[in-house]
Amino acid sequence: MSDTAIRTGYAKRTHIRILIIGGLLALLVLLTGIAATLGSYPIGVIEVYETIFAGPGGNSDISTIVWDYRLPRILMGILAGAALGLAGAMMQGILRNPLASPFTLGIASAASFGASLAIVLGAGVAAGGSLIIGNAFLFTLIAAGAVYGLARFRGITPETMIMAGIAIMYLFSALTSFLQYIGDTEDVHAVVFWMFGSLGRSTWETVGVVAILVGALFPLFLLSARSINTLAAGDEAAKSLGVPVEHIRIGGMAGASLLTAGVICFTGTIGFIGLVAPHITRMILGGDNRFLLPGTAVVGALVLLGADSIGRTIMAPQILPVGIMTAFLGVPFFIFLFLSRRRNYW
Amino acid sequence: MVTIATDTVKFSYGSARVLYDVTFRLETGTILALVGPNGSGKTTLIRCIDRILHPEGSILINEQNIHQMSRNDLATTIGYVPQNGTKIAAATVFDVVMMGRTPHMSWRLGDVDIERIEYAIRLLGIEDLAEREYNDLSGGQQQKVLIARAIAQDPKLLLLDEPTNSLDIHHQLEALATISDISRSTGMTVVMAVHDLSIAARYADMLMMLKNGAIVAIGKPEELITPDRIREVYNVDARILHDPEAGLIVAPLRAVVGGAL
Repeated sequence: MSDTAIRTGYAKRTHIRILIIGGLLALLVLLTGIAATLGSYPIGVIEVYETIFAGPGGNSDISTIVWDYRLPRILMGILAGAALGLAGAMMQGILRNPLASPFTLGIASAASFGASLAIVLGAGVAAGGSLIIGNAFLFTLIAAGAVYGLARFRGITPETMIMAGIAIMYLFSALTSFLQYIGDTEDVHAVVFWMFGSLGRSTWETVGVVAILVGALFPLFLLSARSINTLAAGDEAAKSLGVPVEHIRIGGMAGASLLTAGVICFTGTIGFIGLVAPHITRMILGGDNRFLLPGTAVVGALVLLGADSIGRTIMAPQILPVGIMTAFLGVPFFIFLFLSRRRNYW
Repeated sequence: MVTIATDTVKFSYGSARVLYDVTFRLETGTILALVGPNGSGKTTLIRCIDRILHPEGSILINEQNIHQMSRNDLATTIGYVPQNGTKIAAATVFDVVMMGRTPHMSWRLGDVDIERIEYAIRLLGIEDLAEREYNDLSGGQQQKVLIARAIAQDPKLLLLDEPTNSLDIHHQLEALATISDISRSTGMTVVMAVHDLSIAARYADMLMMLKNGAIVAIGKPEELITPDRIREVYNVDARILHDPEAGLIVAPLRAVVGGAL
């Protein structure tokens, strides 16, 4: 292979990756339109796009349905999928572990505990309707802080953080189980339903909050992409190559926790996306985080929006919780990719 | 280009002292081989120079204390080739060599970066592996990739920890000749831990013999490598041969009984 072949090989791979991300984005736009047609009131795809481009505040029923009911849910699906995917990709990158995700590191189980505390005991940090949201958010950050604090004792390495994360996960799971044990049937039902995860509670306000969070953290994630790439070579090699290893690891963990907390306090626990969207993307785009991170955001959005759209229609008028649908949809797709790839992608 | 000067460098892992008062000075463009038995402190010394470990005493690069340099300044000055064995997930050979540009490149890979990556890949003769997954390569191939990564880093001081231990004799000669050529043409200073004394004698300008964390001797290979000293450092009886082409050859004869290291 000549010099030019190395150079053109890189240029070609870069172009292909950008094209793939562009294609996935186009797919997302298409899926957004299709998702907005789904529901008990029939609206055509073209009508949907016309309504979206006409902007909010139209007088027709269609405008009200699309803008007030369907779009918040759809946008929340996109943002939540992107955020959870990004959080997972960040955790897998900084911890060099394919099993790292907001769920395996106890962050989501802490959110469940926070929500359960609000539902079962009515105890928490906020008032009224915000009680569940405030509690879930707070406990997510408590879990992340605890993981950090425990790992700090032995040095901030992937091993210490994962061990601490697993301990925290079991602790909060046990606490949630305890609350379910002592709670009355109605409350337990509400807890279980919250833990399924749902986009049904989305409003423009919650969409706005998550959008600000994703908008603020995504550029920071992208900026650190190169350092995360180098981190794959091991802590010592990365340090020697000029990467501030601990800062990147702590910052990445904080960013991923914040994204997760910001999403699941509104939606309930939506599992699986944080684990699997990065893997799917890595199989398609490779391990370079400069492409993997934006790619994962789009794939996460696609999987979550796709799962919610199917969950809304497959047993209509019953709506299947999106947390269940993501696993039903994502697992077979993931296994298909996993088995069909010969390349040693992780 | 750089000089290194260390003054009474000491290091302990917990209560176990592994380096005692290591003091030496190395001029620009010198190739120094660290030799000595297992556990003599070769790797520890290399990791101290790259500030991966934080020893007592001082280490100066171009008369500047490494603890006063930023991590990025250090990374543009010092390249480090660790012993291979770390897996690098989801990375091609190109990706791994690209990591060498971390302290230099902006978010995008610039022309200079690509040129340097190409240069390093070509120098190590791994063009055909460029798009292969790093984890799929043999130990020897991986070692070459790690050397290429350090070359891509464009360092003024190259630290290598047993750079040839996974390479066959053909590739050992090739890799060390490459490193030696770069050092001769650019004035890059090299510090490498080596087990093979004959290889060390052939490619290094200076040899440092370490035992139990202390310097036994430092000097030119032909002055340092004597049967007595090999017995003192390794507890091995050896014969020193001279070949007109290969230079000094150390032929180990037998381990000295009762000479536990």
